[in-house]
Amino acid sequence: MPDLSNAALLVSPLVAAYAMVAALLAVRKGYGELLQSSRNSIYVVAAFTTIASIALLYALIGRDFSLKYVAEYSSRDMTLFYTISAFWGGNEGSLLLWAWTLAILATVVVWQNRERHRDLMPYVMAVMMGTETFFLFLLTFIASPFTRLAVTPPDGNGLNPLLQNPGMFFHPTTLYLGYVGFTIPYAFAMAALITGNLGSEWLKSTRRWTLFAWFFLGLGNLFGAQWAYVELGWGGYWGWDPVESASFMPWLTGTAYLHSVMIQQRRSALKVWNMVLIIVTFALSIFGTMLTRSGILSSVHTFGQSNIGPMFVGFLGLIVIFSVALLVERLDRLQSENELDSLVSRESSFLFNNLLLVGAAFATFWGTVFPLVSEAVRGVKITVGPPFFNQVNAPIFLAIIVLMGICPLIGWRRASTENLIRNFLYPFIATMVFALVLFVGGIRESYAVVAFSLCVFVVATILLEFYRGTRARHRTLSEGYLAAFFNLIWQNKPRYGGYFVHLGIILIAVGVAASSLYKVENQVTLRPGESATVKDYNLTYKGLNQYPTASKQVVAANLEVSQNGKYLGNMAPAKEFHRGHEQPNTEVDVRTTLIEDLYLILTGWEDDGTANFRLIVNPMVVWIWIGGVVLLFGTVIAFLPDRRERVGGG
Amino acid sequence: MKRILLTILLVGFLNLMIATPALADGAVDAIANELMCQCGCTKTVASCDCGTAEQMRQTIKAILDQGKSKEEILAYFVGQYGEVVLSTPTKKGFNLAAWVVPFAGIVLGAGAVYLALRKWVFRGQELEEVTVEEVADAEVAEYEERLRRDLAAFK
Repeated sequence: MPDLSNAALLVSPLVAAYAMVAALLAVRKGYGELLQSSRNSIYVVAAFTTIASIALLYALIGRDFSLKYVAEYSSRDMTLFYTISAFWGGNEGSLLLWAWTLAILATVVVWQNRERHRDLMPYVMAVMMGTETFFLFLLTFIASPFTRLAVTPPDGNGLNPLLQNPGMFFHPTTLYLGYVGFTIPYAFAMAALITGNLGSEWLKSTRRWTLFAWFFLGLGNLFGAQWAYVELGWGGYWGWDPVESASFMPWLTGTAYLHSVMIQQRRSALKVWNMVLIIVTFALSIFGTMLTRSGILSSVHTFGQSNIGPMFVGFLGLIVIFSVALLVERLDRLQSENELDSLVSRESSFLFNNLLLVGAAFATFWGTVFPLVSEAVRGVKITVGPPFFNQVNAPIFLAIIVLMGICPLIGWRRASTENLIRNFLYPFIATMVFALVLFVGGIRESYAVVAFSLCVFVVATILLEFYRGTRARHRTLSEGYLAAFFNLIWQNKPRYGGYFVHLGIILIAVGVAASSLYKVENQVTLRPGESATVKDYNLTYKGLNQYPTASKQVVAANLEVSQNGKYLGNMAPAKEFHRGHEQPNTEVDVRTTLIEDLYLILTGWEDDGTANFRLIVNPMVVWIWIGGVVLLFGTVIAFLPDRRERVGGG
Repeated sequence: MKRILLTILLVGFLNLMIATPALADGAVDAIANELMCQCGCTKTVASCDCGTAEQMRQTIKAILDQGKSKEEILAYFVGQYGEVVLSTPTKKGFNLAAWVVPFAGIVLGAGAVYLALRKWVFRGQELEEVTVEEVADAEVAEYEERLRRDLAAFK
């Protein structure tokens, strides 16, 4: 089976390259058959990469350690769940996952548009297959997962213990869906530039694909944050690691793009800007994949490194040169006669939202590359660590939250004074009252008061919008309040789905602000029987338990936890010594409530049973994960077919 | 220097000997947040719980206990490891660029957005004026024509 699939993988870059060339030739020479042949070739690429992927899974599950990849990333004691996850545990498998995902998405796009966009599709197919050819080329010639070992070992190395977490299943897969997904709107954008059909049709067709990619990229980041929180054992969920930043940047520019395309669809404006945004987003997606897979920068993600870095740099350069050249070539056709009635309008608020989102992406990028800039200019190595990103991005994100409250409710073209008062008076009063309550309640930290009050402002504007819509339906259509509420959402899914997405983001923002500003930490060394406190928790250390499992030796501390004198239960932070791995793995124990997480880390111990702990109280972290669920809910609503769409989306 | 090292050793030794609950030390945490752990983890000394970070925290505490200021402690670590040990670039000299450039970019961008918007608004008003004038002209012409016809019929 691996040999057959190796053959399939060997042929597939040729098939993908053929699909690209055939599509281009077909449109240049007007050969309809050649276009059909190109379409069929895309299906073949999807079939071949599927065969290769099934073969790799088969080899992993069947413990075929004659394959180098299987021997490096799996072992006999691994459960089926982690054995499947080992598929993308290393470089080669990750690249196969990328190529496989793109091939499947390309197939869906070709199938969806078999009767539509006859002018655009050949170029869309060519761009998708050009990208696919690059990844298949890497897989075939540089990083094949089907390389055989001269001698078959009896067992494999197993997956890095840090990767043995449910996050391993969800984080890479969702993140890759996001990265790969942005290929589709990018391909359509390039096709629009090449053909000169620069209207809004291609935007309508790619709305869902953009939403799809954006959502999965966001979800991938959240899964990564959750994983880091429970597995890396340092008490946080986001460390501004270069690879984290690299996956956050395309999400930011993708968010800007999602908003600015609305202006193009409604007002035929911002055509050049939208092109720039989708090019940047796609380039950043490739950049993110490159950072994760090449190990160029030191990161928590450097599990599998290889020498594919220069290849990626070349490919990235090619994308940028090709896209920018096309854009410059078409600049004259992208000019739009924009006109507005007032500086205060939905359009202007969207432009500033775009500026801030791109600004945050730029600040993150600048911080990530600044050590290289400093070394080049001054010859001095410096670090740009998490505190820098927090300090620089915090004000930008607060400003984004302000606009999040303003943008959806301000009128198009011109916002009248009545419009402003009608939409913002009550939320403004609510914000002021809330800020006062916080202040009186003893919360004096300016960042906290501003951040929480702004979140209340956004929530108030959204609730007001839901309330007014529901009331209007209740009055004019005599619907019951509940029916009116659901019909309101159902009749305009993109809009109300968007509001839910905003609510999700606000929940995440509240969680991030609370846990960053009000984290309480205590580092203690305890003998069995001794107690320590953190905030209002009292922890009594009962002793250490050591026990072996099939694949590891566990050392767990037993702590009795009470809060304000009330017994809550026992917690067991641990260190795990995995077979074949020198470094122990920290297994934190977290007790979660809506108010706060009690987060315990066992950092070390002595022979006499004395143990060192980090005791952390992280406020409102669970709100971040709840925000993720609300985000999912909103995106699904926005994704559903809407009656307002005259042309079915892509 | 010798005194510092001696203190570190002494404090470390005492810590091993006397395993009593340590005090939560805000000052140590604040300084630890400004230093990067040197184990290659890309985390700050405050976040990392490896041996290197622990040792660095002990050093911070030891120097703090000598009554040294935060700046002196940071300078000590820069002397030991180089500027790379600081978790954020210093806010002076070329490093200032790290802090200023993102905001300068946003301010410049805001200027560009404002200019573009002003152009759009100007164009919008221009269009509006032209439209109103044209409509008015057309209406006036129509009335004049009707008046002319009525007058002719009257005659």
